[in-house]
Amino acid sequence: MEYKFKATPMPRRNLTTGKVMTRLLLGLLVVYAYGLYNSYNIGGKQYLVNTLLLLLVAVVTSIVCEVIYALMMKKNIGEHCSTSFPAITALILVLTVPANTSLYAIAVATVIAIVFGKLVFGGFGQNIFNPAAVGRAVIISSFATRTAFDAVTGATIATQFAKMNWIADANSYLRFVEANGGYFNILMGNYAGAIGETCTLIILAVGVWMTIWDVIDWRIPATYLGLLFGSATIAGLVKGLGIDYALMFVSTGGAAFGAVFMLTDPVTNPQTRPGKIVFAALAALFTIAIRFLGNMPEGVVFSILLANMISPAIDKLFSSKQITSHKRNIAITLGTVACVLLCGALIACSVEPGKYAVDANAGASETVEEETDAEAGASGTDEEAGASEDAGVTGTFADTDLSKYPAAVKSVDGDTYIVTAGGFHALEGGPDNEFEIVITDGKVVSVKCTVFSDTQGVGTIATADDALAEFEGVSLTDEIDAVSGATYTSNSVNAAVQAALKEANK
Amino acid sequence: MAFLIGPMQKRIRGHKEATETNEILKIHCDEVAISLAIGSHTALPCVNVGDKVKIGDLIGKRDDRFYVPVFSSVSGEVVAIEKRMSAGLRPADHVIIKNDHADRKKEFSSISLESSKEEIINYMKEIGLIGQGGAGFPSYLKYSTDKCETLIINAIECEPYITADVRNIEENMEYFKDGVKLLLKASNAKKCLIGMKFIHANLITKLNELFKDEENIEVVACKDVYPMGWERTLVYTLLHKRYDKLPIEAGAIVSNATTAITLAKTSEKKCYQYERIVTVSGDNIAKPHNVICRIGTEIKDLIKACGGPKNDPAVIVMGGPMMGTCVTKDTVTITPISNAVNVFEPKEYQEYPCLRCGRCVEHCPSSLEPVTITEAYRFNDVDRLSTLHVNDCVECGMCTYICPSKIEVTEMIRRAKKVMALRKK
Ligand code: SF4
Ligand code: SF4
Repeated sequence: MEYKFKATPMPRRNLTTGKVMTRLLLGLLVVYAYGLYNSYNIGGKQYLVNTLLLLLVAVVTSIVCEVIYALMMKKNIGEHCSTSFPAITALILVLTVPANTSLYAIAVATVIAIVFGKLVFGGFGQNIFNPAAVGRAVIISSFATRTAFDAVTGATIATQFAKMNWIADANSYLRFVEANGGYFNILMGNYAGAIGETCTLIILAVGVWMTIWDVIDWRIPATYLGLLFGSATIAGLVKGLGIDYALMFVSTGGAAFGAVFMLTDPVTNPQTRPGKIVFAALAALFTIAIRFLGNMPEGVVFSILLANMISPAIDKLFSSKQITSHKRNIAITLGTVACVLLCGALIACSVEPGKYAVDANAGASETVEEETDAEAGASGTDEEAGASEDAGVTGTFADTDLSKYPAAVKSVDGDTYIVTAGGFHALEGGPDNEFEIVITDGKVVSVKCTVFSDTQGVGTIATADDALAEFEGVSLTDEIDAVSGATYTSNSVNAAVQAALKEANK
Repeated sequence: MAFLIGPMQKRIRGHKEATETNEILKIHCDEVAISLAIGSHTALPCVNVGDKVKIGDLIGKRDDRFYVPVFSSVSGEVVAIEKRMSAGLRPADHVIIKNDHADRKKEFSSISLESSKEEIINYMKEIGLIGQGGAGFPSYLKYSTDKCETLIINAIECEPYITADVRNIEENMEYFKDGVKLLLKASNAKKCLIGMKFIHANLITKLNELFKDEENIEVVACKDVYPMGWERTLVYTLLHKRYDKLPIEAGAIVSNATTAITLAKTSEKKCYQYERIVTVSGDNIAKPHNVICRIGTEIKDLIKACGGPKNDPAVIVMGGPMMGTCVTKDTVTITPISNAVNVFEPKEYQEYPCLRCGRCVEHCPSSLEPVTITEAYRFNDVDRLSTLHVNDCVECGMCTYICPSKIEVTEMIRRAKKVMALRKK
């Protein structure tokens, strides 16, 4: 009988790294599946196909990179690929880009993610940065305009939000939320954005599932999202925005996705629990700072990279016997969390709230330029997408087609015109809205709403006093955009003003 | 605590059913080889080849810092004194005695509950009582203190596969009771806690019955996790206290259940306890059993009695599969502290790169950072190693067990310890 030597312990836990990665892959695929559905919803077949192709290109590219690396390093290809998990990086990368990203861009980003994000450090387990975040950063900084075809609704939610300094005054904020279909819609991810980042609810659900499956440490997303939420709540209360503002703050711009799937990457975060919490807290601070001070829509990706960078230092900080340094660790952890909450709130409060209409418009026109750069017109998709009732409202005011909202001048009394115009209810045969418009020298002096029959809440924004005040000085030759997202009502106002001006110019 | 440090423990499948209820085999042998290795020291032989010995005759003693005697477990003739591999993977002198099966015994003195603390402690020294949980620390040293407030009897047996302690208690209820009371007397503690895993519900009920008249003795059902039976974990679980070096700093003395039984039995029978109960189990043994054998029996006799290994090749572990030592020769012999011989298949696991996931950190019962130690060892970074409390590692095996990447973390730490030990010299 032969007796071999084998170091104890003999039993091993069933969970292997391979299993952990398979579970993660499954979780990501759930998010991807929703992304497919959402892409189809937003952009039809063209988007759907592109989303599928993006994944295919990314996965193939990543595997090719790994194979070449294995050949160069004279490693066993099969073994290398099965312990390097290229598909995970590829999938995460795809989930963080918009559905209209060009295949060329994703291929380059994948190469950079795999080679410079991972392999140059010596492969899986040695990398300092989250490879997918590296790839994503490359797309943001170098391929911002390299979309396969135009974005359907122009500015994404995050861009719109960023244009408002991530904190709008109460009015603009409400309009912004309505323009994007309301809270529920946004939480459900029912809008154009990065493939996997839109649906916060699904991401969080998968996060819970991953926690139960022992794939990720829940402390990281909980700390990160909690601090974003906490800081935004304080800022929201100070600025009179209410708690739902905080909800918007954490559910846009890929914060949930980054927290659940990218910050939790064990390779690039600290290994002790206090370290993980401090790491997530600092990442939250970076996100807040980048969002508010940098006005960037992509705060999450860059904050992940920054946090990755300081992760080794955090590990050093907490490297000792955990029991003996327990009190100190508690103090540091709680201290960091409290500081981040405070600093985050201060930063958020110090920022001048942006205006929705003006800023969002600027964002939209930038996107229009981008679209032309990309030279891939798909104007048909624009209409089909339907999300853009007010998309065509450029050009001079006089030319704007508002015939869907029939407006008629009821009476003229000197400079004052009483105009009725169809709103949302009018489309369904309900009563019209009625406006009192004062015009001198072909320019609007004031607009007042006298009879309002549209839905309270949705329409009230567009007829709120300062929204109407924006018509001041408008003439038929001005360019105008639909004021806000309350499409029916604002177009109703537009139509009324247009009719009044036309009457005045007769 | 657990929120920021980690659980520092883990449920591990026990596999105890294999030897929990079946019969206890008795093994006879014609020759014993009694190891003179005691912990990290070796006792000096005090018999010569050709001497006739009785059971309980002194055949060796350790006489450096403290006194520990070694007795003969058979009656017969000393046929050789030779160097062999001991259970602790150290070559040491073994006294080989041919058994004449006459079982002549040397009579020992005895103690009773009326004896004083000093008398009991002296008795422990006289009969060479050592902690039978695995460490083999002389009991009389542990009890020579008056700072003890709580006596903890460790009946946890947290290693998988092993059932020797529990079976021993079941078979020797009365001795256990007397032994615990003797130890309580010796410790001068106010109360005694007996820690046992809750999974032995029947035995716990029986023990409660047994100790129902003793107000200061309490049986505590503990969680079924590893390493619950480790002194520090047990003291923390029962008393919520941590200590630096010895449990006495937390006002506790921890003794193994088997130690208690041995003490009472020796005194009652006035004879050296020449046998012990050993679990022979593992995933590669044909018929797992508990066996009773003489101290000094070669493990190949135990393995043979249990049907031998199922498959070739096999791995033998002296002691539990987590903390035990792997031996490559089946001529290693049973010592008073051997509680198990486990036979396994040498399984190979696919190793992945370290994820730096920190699972080993969260579960290490000493709250060290196995991953960092491993890294420092691989880079031969001795300066870094010296800041990582390497010597606080008890080689419990948790880090290797838990590692999803199947890295031999514990083994790396063992090597790192050796590097540090060499550097100190
Ligand atoms: S050694 Fe294993 S358990 Fe520890 S951090 Fe690395 S992969 Fe995780
Ligand atoms: S073997 Fe050592 S380092 Fe590993 S878990 Fe046990 S005590 Fe901690």
